[in-house]
Amino acid sequence: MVGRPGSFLQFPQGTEGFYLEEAYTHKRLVNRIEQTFSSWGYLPVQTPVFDFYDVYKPLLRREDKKSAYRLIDRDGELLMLRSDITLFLAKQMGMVLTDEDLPVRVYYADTILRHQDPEDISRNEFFQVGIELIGAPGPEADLEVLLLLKELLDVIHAPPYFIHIGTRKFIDACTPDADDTLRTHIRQAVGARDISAVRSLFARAGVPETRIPALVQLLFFIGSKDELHGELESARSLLTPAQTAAVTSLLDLSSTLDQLGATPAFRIDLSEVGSQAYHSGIVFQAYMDGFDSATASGGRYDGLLGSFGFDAPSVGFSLMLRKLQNSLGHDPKAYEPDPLTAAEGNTFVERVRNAQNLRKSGKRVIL
Amino acid sequence: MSVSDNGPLTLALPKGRLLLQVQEFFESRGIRFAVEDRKLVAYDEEGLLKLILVKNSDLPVYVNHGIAGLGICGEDVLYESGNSFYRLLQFEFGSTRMCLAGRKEQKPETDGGRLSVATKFTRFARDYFHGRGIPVEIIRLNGSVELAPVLGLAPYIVDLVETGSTLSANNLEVKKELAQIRIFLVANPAYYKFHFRRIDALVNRLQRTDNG
Repeated sequence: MVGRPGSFLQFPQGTEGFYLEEAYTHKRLVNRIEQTFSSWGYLPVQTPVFDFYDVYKPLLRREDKKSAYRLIDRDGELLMLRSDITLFLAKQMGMVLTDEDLPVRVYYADTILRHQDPEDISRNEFFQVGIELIGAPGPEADLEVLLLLKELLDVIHAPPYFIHIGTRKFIDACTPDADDTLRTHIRQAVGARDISAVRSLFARAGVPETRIPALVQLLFFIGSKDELHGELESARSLLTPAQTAAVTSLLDLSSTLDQLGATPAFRIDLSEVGSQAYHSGIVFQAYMDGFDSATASGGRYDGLLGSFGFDAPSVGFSLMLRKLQNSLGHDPKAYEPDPLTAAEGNTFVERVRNAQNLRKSGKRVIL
Repeated sequence: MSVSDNGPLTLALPKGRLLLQVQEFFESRGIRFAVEDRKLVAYDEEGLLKLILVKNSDLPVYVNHGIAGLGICGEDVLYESGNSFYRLLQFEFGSTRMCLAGRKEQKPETDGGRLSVATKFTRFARDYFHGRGIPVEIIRLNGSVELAPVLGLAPYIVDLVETGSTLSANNLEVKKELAQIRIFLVANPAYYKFHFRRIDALVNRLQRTDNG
């Protein structure tokens, strides 16, 4: 090798290779996940590896732009490698779907390519699995997606987790007169849990001074349905109908989860407001003990497909599989290759025949 | 499956000047811990916290990776790390100032319109001066920054100033105070979300006033 063999023998940031048992485990795991999605009526979809950057540019946050790999094709067009499947999928679906197709249930399981800080090895954002339920508005579609995420986490024996459910509707109802820039700043302050910044931004957004404390208290609420119910009752006289409706929608969601016995996995968290401008309804993230960031996230984005030509409500989630692959708590043998058997016989032909017989009984045999 | 969380919360503390202040403050809130000589991990008497002692500038790395879910550190270190953590509580102790300093006889001139500063806090210095439209040349140092103007490496330094005695001893003075640096209890956001009840209880306990 010419040049600097030492540095070329590493992978550039943002990609990875894995081998042998690890690759086998990964494939088995993906297979198990796909079976789960399939059993809920979801069909696979394959998104392109790269696409025109300008299509996605208005939808990318600053950090998304920084982490995206861009390249120029032979016609001089700026391209972007697939750094997030949700966006690529939205364009693809927006282009091909018609009203007659709806509702559509799709799943994906694929690599993503984005820059990762070489000194921050904990991200592991290399492989995304997820689903989209397109063309179904309303709480039942939201619940379907939440319950599917819970089932998925249980099926793969994820470490102890909580799924925090919030909504974009409440924060939007708090600041009906704010422009997009101010709303982005408010969401960022909520995302940073900076309560004093939210108070002053609310004042700038024209929220009446007397209502700010109650709204901020609700906005930073995390807890159970009953606790939220108590908070709502004590603040009700200070809330607008839209604000009350937003909180009530989460309580209703939680009641159904209760009926299904799924409540222990979920928490209501009004500070989950979604970091993307296109979030429009419920927003949720899964948190696990010992992980540096959320391992799964999702929500409703009713206007996103419209950016690509076909307007349809949509709700979905994605999970960073490689991030938690080494922490799954199941019996590892379930995903590890069976032991190898060596074929017996004095000649090659005998060994092939012996191997054929052994393989019929499900053994892994080498010649 | 989901479970309720238990076990001690993990808190990274910086070795050095802040540690004693933190220890004293925690003791005033009834949280007692002792650090054995050369040990880098300790537990408080109630088993509430697992304390991890790390170098001040490394603290955000541990919190960012979720190795320690919580940490106590200054805004200077937080800013340099570039990480976004929840700031759960601001402490009264340990505050200091980030200052531009230079030799006493140094006139307030820049080198051909470009300011040269030596500093450990390169990110802060760059953002501070660029934010004000001042071109700046930054020389990164890891310690004894006061030597830079004395030996002629750079006419100015950007550094933390507490009493100013080190500056005076080297014939330097504060030319401008750039920022107040406060001390915070920070949390990795995902760690906070998972353990929020116990963390909120800890914050409430630490927030308690001395009389109550």
